Amino acid sequence: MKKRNKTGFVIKNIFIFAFAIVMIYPLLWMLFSSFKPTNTIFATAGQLIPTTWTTENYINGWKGFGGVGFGTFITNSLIIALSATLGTIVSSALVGYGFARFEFKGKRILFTAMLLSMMLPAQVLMIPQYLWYKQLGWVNSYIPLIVPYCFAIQGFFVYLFSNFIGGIPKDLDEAAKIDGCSYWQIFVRIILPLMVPALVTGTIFSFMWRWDDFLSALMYVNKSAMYPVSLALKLFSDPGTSSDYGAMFAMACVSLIPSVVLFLTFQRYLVEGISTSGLKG
Amino acid sequence: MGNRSSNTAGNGRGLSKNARNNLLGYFFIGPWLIMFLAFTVVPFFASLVLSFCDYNMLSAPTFVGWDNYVKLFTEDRLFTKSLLITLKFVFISIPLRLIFALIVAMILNRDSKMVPIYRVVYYLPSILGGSVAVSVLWRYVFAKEGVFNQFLNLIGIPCNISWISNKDTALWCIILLFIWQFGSPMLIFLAGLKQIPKTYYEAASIDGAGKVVTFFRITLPLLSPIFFFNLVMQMIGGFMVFSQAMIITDGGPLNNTMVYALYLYKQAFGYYKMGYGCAMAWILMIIIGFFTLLVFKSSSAWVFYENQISEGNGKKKRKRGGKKA
Amino acid sequence: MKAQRIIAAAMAGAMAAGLTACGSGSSTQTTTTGAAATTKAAANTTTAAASGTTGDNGAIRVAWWGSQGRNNSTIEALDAYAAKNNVTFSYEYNSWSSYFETLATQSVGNDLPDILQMSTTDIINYSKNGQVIDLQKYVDDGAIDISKIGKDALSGDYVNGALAGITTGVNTVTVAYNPDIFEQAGVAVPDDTNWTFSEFCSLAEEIYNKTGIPTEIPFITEARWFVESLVRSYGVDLFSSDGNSLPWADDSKVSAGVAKAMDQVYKEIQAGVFVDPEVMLGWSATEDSYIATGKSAMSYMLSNYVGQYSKVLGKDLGMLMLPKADDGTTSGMYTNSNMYWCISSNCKDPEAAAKVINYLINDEDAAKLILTDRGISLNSDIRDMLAKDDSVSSSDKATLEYVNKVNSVVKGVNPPDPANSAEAIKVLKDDYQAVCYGEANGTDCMDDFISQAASILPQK
Repeated sequence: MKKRNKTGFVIKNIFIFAFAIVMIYPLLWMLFSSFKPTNTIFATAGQLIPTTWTTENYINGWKGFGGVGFGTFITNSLIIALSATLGTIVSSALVGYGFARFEFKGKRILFTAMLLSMMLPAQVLMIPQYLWYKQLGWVNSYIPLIVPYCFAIQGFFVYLFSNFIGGIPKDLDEAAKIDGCSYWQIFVRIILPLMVPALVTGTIFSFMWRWDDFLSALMYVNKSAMYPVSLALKLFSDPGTSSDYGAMFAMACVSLIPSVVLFLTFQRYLVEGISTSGLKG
Repeated sequence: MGNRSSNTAGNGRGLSKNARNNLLGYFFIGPWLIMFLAFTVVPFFASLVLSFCDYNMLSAPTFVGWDNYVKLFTEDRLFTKSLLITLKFVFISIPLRLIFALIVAMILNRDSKMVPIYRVVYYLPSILGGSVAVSVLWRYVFAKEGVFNQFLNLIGIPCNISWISNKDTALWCIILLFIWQFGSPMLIFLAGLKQIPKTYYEAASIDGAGKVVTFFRITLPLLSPIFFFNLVMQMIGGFMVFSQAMIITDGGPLNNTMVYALYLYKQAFGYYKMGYGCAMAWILMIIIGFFTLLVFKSSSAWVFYENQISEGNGKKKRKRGGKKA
Repeated sequence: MKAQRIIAAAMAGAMAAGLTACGSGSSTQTTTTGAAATTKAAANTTTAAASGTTGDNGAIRVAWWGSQGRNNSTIEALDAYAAKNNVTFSYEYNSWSSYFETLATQSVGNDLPDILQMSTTDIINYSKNGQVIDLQKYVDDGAIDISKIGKDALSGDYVNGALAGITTGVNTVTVAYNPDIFEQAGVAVPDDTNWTFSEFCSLAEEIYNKTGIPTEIPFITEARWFVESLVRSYGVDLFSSDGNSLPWADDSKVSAGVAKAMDQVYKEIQAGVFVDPEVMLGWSATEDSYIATGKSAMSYMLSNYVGQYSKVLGKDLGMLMLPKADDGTTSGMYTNSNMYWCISSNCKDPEAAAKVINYLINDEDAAKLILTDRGISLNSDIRDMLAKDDSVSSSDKATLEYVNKVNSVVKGVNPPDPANSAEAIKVLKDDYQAVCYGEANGTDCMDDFISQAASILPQK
């Protein structure tokens, strides 16, 4: 029995490892390609490790376009993604709490409306939304890229959080209420600590999605010096002229760093399982 | 700020239960509601109005009644084709993506030195999103002389199909990309697994339950709300799949990867037919809405909530109540 | 713009309601607004630091799509202009895939950039709907100097009698060939002034039989260029001048001739003489294509791509004019505007914008930076200068020469594509690919294209 377990363990781990390679191979390809001279990338596409290593792609890519360096794009993206994420998480948690814990009039309709709003492709909402923002004088600033998110505009997060809050036993709320906690205090002291894994997940998603979003950036940011990374990355290639894939890969790798760092820092909180200790009570 | 809020929240106590619930409910969803009404509901209906218009964006819309809808159902061959492709895409990729995400989440829900590294590795493809880099990369993996064929040849299966441009396999490349980026549902599963109290597992092991039994009796039921959430979200996302198809095949070859949202986009912005695009969008919404409704209706049979969102409507039973006691 | 006002009013109403509703306020609101204000300030600082301009006061907004090279050269050229002429620019460059999406949205908000780079397929929509202005006035008053271009060459820039834009440069179509492979096969370079598609196929067959090296399928991703050359060899245009129909739709000789050529294409694919369509559609970059890697003998392409392919091949590709249909009566060659410079109707100072366009098309210093990136210039002085300039590669010089040669055969530049043509062209592309994949034959393809175009093209 024990021996079989051990073989099973080994097989399982080999499988996980092999699978990890499959998962990550394309990324490694991109990473190594970014160190190949740009004109050899496709000629040597079948070969992972570069024959000649070069950092030229990074130097070229970092220069950006017409005097606006790639660093500016990264800073812009950080400003947008960090503030929008903070706003999304705080507001969505509140709204999710409202949906999960209170029986108010019109809740079902609003909840349905929220779900429906996710089913209409962004492209058809773009023009009316644009007119709105223009009316408010928000165009050509980061406001449309940040402020709506501070009001839980993405139903996904509201639904995600309300779902997780729904999974927290109500007995805890009741107990706290008896202890004299207000609803606000219940939210801050009981619910929030218990939903840390969900908050962490949400933060990772939100940051990543804001980081990748170029559709709204396209509409609302005109000046090149205000472009976010997602937009800038698309500027390396053009179907009509030769594209600098080397620089594009290099900068694509650089632009992955913030998301990876965020993931590494935050995924720690997925392990600690704070919720378990809370639930025992 | 905290003070003001707690006061407001505290004030509710003197009121009747219903009034208090209304007040508190709207207090918490308030910020969302304002933005939602202004920036989602209004554009939402604007798109409905536009769907009855001939609108090229460069001049004012003109009302054309049901023309767009009639044209879609009677004249537009690609409309039907793209719809069928999308349905195929959803019904193949979503179950696979979810099962995959769940399996990996279970594997990574352990405390081991390697787990954090694996998590990053498995999540990385999702971080890449729909960038140009992914499209180049994917096209090279599945090209005629690509990595995938190299691998097949290595294990003794000679193959020289250009998967990405073969009319029968191209859609599968996109499905595969979609599955490859399973990170989001995986993370949500992982967070869900973390939320399951360890006590349940301890009790089960005292009862002598094996791994399989524990999975089906404890993990799966307790995870069912999360599974439900993932299913709904992935389904919505699957029906609206767009960037993967656009960046990799742009709908080709022979329109065999022309998914619905991509066709909509081409109509709206490529051919300056925004009104037509809006009509397509509303049809899509009705279709997604229908399937979502089906999932919601079926949920009472397989989703187990501790305290469910629609509690008070008295529709769902507290199936787990007994076990907890 | 009436509907726009209605939408705006409806929104303003809803918004007022929204604001009253939020009068009670919530804790997040205050915090987040504060945060947004901070970030906005931060954003402004970065902008100011990077571009030196703080707002829209006086800056001329110039929009284009392109790659890193074009972005850099255009900015450099315009910066030089700004330094001399006391104007400031705001650059709004974008990727091709999202450029027109942005413009369409901006046009709804009456917020189009002042100077726009336009494509041949999109310019008609913008001109017909009054989003770009008629430049005739600025040509007449001398702000845009066309003395070195000639009115004939600008024939392609008129939409319904209005000068919608100024061509940045022209390109044309060509059969690029690898001289080494011709030599290896022992075939002579054909006389391209009067050759037919069948002769092209026989040449491909001969090369294939002698060397095993195939030829690429003519324009598999842009069937339109292929079909246009065949149709024109019967002496008719692809689209009627009013843009409402295919002038050759009822002439069975033309459609049968094109269908025959397509069937020949399929036959050659089956025989291995033409490259497998699956392989061709699997290519992502120049480096993948057989012509750039010495694995194919000939390839149909746009003239402005030849330089890039030659560079990858490491040897200059030869250029031949396209063959005509077998029973065609004349050369099917044509030149196209590569793209246009336009002035939007939202521009506050069109005179100043017109001068910028004049600079971009006529100034030698600007041309030295932009080179042939936006097509071969129509300005004869600039062409002469580029032909002698050292920074122009030998293959680009060959392209220049080739365009001159084509210009001696054809007159004027093709007009912009008619409205709705993008959709018709997409139908043609799909049908042609179906022929290449063996899903349909040439006759099916042409019948479908003619009937679809009839329902797509007419204007209400």
